[in-house]
Amino acid sequence: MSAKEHDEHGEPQHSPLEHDDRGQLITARPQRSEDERPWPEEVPGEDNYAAAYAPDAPDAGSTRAATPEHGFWRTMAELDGTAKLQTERGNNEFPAAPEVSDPMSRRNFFQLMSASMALAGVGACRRYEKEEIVPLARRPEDQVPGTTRQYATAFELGGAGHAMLATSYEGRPIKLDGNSDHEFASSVTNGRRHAGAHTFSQAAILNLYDPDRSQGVINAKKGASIEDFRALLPALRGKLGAARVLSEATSSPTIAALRAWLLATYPGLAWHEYEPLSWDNERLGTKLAFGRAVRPLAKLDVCETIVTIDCDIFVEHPAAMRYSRDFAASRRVNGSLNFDASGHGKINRLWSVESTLSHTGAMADHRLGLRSEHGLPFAMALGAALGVGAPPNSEIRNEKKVQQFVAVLAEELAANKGRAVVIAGRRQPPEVHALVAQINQAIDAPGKTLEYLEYNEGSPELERVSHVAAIQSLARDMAGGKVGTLIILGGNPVYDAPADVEFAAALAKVGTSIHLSEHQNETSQAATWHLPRAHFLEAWGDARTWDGAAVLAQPLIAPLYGGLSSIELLGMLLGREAIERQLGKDVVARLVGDQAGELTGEQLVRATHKPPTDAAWRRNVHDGYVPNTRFGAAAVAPGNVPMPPLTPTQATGSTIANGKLEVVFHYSSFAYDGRYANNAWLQETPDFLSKVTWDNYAIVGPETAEALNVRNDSRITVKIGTRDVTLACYTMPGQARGSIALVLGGGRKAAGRVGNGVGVDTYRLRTAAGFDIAQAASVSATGEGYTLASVQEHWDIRTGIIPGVNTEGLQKRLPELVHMTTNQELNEDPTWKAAEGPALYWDDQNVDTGGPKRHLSLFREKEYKGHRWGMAIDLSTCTGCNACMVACQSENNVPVVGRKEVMNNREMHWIRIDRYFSGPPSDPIVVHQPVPCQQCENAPCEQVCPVGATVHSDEGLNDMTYNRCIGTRYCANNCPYKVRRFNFLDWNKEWREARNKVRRLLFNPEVTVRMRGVMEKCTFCVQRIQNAKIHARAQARSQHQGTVDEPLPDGTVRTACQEACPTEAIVFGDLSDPNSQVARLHADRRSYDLLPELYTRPRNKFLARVRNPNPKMEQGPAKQPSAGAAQGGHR
Amino acid sequence: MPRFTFPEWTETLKKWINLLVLGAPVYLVALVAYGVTPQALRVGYQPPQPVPYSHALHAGELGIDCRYCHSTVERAGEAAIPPAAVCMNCHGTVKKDSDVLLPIREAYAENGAVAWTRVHDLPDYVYFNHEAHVNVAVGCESCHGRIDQMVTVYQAQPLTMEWCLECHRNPEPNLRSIENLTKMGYAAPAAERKKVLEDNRVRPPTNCSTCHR
Repeated sequence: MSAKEHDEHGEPQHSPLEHDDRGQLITARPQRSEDERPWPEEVPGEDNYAAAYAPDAPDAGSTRAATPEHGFWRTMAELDGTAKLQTERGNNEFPAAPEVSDPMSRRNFFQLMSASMALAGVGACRRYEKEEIVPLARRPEDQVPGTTRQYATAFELGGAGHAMLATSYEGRPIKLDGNSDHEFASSVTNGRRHAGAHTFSQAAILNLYDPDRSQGVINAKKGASIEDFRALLPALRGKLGAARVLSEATSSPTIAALRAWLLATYPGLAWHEYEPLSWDNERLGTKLAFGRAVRPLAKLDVCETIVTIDCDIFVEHPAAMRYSRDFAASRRVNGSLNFDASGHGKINRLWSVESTLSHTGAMADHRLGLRSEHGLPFAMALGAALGVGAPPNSEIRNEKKVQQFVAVLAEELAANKGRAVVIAGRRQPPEVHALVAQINQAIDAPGKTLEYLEYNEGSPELERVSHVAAIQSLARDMAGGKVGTLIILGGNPVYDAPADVEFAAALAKVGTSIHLSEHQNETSQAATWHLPRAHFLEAWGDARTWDGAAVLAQPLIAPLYGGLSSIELLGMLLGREAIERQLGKDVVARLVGDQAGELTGEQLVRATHKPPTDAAWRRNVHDGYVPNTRFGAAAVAPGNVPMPPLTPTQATGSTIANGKLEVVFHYSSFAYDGRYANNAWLQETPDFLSKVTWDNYAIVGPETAEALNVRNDSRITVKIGTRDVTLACYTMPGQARGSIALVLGGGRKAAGRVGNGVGVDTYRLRTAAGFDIAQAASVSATGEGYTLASVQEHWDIRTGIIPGVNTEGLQKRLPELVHMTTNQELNEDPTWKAAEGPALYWDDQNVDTGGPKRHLSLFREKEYKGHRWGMAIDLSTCTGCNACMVACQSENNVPVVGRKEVMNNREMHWIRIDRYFSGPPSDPIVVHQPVPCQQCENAPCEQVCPVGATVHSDEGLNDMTYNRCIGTRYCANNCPYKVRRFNFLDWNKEWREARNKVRRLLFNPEVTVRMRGVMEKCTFCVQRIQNAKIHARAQARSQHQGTVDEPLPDGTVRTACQEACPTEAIVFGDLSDPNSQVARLHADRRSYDLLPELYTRPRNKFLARVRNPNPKMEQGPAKQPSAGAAQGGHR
Repeated sequence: MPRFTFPEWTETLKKWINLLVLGAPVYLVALVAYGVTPQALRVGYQPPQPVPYSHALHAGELGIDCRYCHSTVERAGEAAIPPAAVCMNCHGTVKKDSDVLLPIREAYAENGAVAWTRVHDLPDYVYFNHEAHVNVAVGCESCHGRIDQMVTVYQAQPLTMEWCLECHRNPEPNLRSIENLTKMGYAAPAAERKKVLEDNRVRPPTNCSTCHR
């Protein structure tokens, strides 16, 4: 039924909504009577606050109790019943169809087409254009054309190193993965080392080929050359004695050494370090607690209880990949905790207190939405319950929700001494970190679930002031005219320094400012000199992972635009003589041989790490790390730390009062702190929760939004003091009452062609005092509408070929998509099984003859004799971190479409992550569900392709043949999972432009780059399967001489998404091998098919999400609401 | 309602339409006929190369094994064109002043490159893999023809999908024991072919994703 018919004949169930001409919802607020609400009335504001949060409120759990019958919802609008489902646009199963948005009329199209047909005839005289083969004059040893090689390297973000592996194809790096040889970067599961990597580290490879990267030296806004800069060096060295260096946070041992040499040579020089997203509070907190800075590192794989206070341990934390893996280990059923004496499966329990719903909060078994500023009173309350310190004099302590949370949590922590840990986040003040150290001491965490690591001797981290203080003092001196020469290593302080520091104005007063940067960003444009910086894949470098282990980076490609690394620049500034004085002439001579002039990057890195022999150095570079460099254990015990007096807003409860709101600053999933704004992969990867792409916004909780009278998809003004910023509002379930989160990283002016003008600059509101948490904010609606490019309701698999596609039908289908259970249920009921779902079509004949009941198939079913490739995705350990999406994009040459086309539902990701909420919007349960092509054995798409462009392979793969596809899109219409993507436009067109050609070097040569007009979808990384089979054969031949087969041990073929997943939630393998990991997971009782009633027999199975709530917390819909309902066919 | 009549000028169209209707089959037949000619399929495509390297001399008369130069054929998808350094192994002493070898010597001396023209050019959406074929012992000759007799290499086989599938459906005629892999003009006896087929368990797939990804 087309959308139009629906409008004409269907009964409008809700009050009509207003649309703009493109069908976008612009104002929608239908009147609803209160008793229609699917959850109890909880209208905020001072009056209602008393009712809902008073100590004598009926029951804290009641806010969760009454969820919609179907249990799950995806948007606030859906929960409200005002979802776009009812709109013309939303009810259309294929809003991406060209007639919706193509300005080109049908007649124009035919005119154009006939012209191009005529031209096609002319061009077809020869089949292919002439191609050349250009071999190297001398092929390096072990270099085999047409094959890939992997090199270890190191990626650094915000002062934390990550050990990586770069895949290089004939000299050009094409993919980045975690280094599974590195001890900190990987863990062993099922006898195999696995690493995983987050989105930023994977997408960093796109920056290498960014055509907008800085391509030359700039002096006084005019082009210059590096020779000009070299000519300046002698004069510059004369001024270094009174100069300043401003560096981004770095853990590089070589930079630390160069810094020490620089300070020894020029005692008057001052070194400052600034990072907009900083973990300084943790370091300063340990200093408060222990008297010296140490680094806490939790061991989550042995934890039974994990508590996070305003901390995202899965993506934002510098040790996030380690934490994700360790968390998954103890979370997995039959994981590292499975030693319960009673024989019951044991998994960890995650408690999370936070303002903005993070990856961690979304995984938590119990989450308390609390303003970040209440982190202090919460920690004090928790501490007091465990006998640490005094309880806070704050009203939140009396709130029923908080009371219960603290009481049950404290009880559990006391019972789990030595098996629990508390982790606080970067926003929390040092006092909270100090208090957390005391709490951890009280629960016997150190030495068991928590390590304290000693910084290496002479580490700048030991004495460094905080990043805010550093930039404040520097800017003060600059503005006071005390800084003649400033060298800025990386970073972008003009854009991301606190607004009241007025860095741009201060920089204008500096005589000579030199900025080393990958892009000619805002700071480069304000500096007198700009030097292009080499990408980390272009230069020698090093870093320390969060546990202190030194990782090495080697250049994989010569600098594309002649950039310098920070190390090379510092070496150049020092000059050979100064380095010789520091290192000793003989040492330098041994390093450089008879080379004259400056030391190279490699020599400087090598001089820092002092390998005993050449062979050792080669080994280190090969492995990507220097062994035995991890920070040593620190023997520390926390002292008593006095807590600061509570501010008035900390002393009050979870009230919502305009003017007394708090504002927290949140990293953005698409630009981090703004530095990746020109990275199109990240821009288009939807935020894990809001599913918004290409934009930043203010996150407002639903109750807060209602109290402040602001709406989703509108623009609001957030004001603190005299500063204000106007941006889009996103009403996010789970955002704490009275807390507004501003996403950083938008509004760049000099990011490049991709990132310029995307979003709004929220740094304008961030001051030194309100660097982490800003108070006394007010919010007002501007009255303007604003549509965020959200993929929220795209690819809705709940619509489709099921009978009765209406709201009711959709709701009925929801619980069949996501299965949840609890660990308790799994243990108590050994017969529990994820529901198989209703069968619509049974084979009656078989029933009549008393034979086994089986599905009646519309298809001729095939038998599979060889490999049967399959996948299993564990919803219990999926943190929704998006790593798989970026990995897939990188591996499979998936194009980026841009904001406008995302709004037309034309994003091309082969794997999407569906996100479902359950429970009340103030405190929802979140489930992530990554959905790649399900590779159905009875694939509906294949039945309707008129040209056989999508057919089944005899290994069970649903093959997509681009060169056969004529673009009817029938297959996408018939796909119940909505995983097929159509190339509506020539997305790769711009890469043919001369200045963008460099970007083409990134393409994976093993995967066809698709043209306009063809369908594409996940292939289970068929290129990896084929190559693995071919190599296995070749290897077998070289070993046995003659007999050739293709034995593929489990784990030989790994898909890109699987490799990237830090929690190993995605497992791929051969189902024909009953001992393979994937076959065992398919046999698990938690496994289920998506939409089993269609009998498509998907090769991908999901494993039900297992929650582990504390029975003492009265939970609402903790259990799968559907398990019985789906089978019994409720309604 | 007035009755619709075609305007007069459409009369002139009629004869053209007739011509079109009569001409279409002729055109189609001609098109198909042209499409299957060796010219269109590029059988015999023999582009000039920057250096008149003669396979007839090197592989034929001198009997150098194919894998001396195309050394990656057993371990990579591509049977790499040899770097100039390989040529110089011999030509450093043999015919070291020859004019025709100048591009090789230049490339070797300056670390430059010789741009050879590709003869066997598959479409970009086809992923052919030498390693897969050589290791189950499909002889070089099956696809490349009598290289040992070619002074300038030309395309001997059509390299169409039909041609590929013919062998994938029935590989036996093109198999030979691994020792005879590079032999030219060698006809493997039936027993040898059968033994290789069974020993190597040759079951070439005919799935789309075998070659298209």
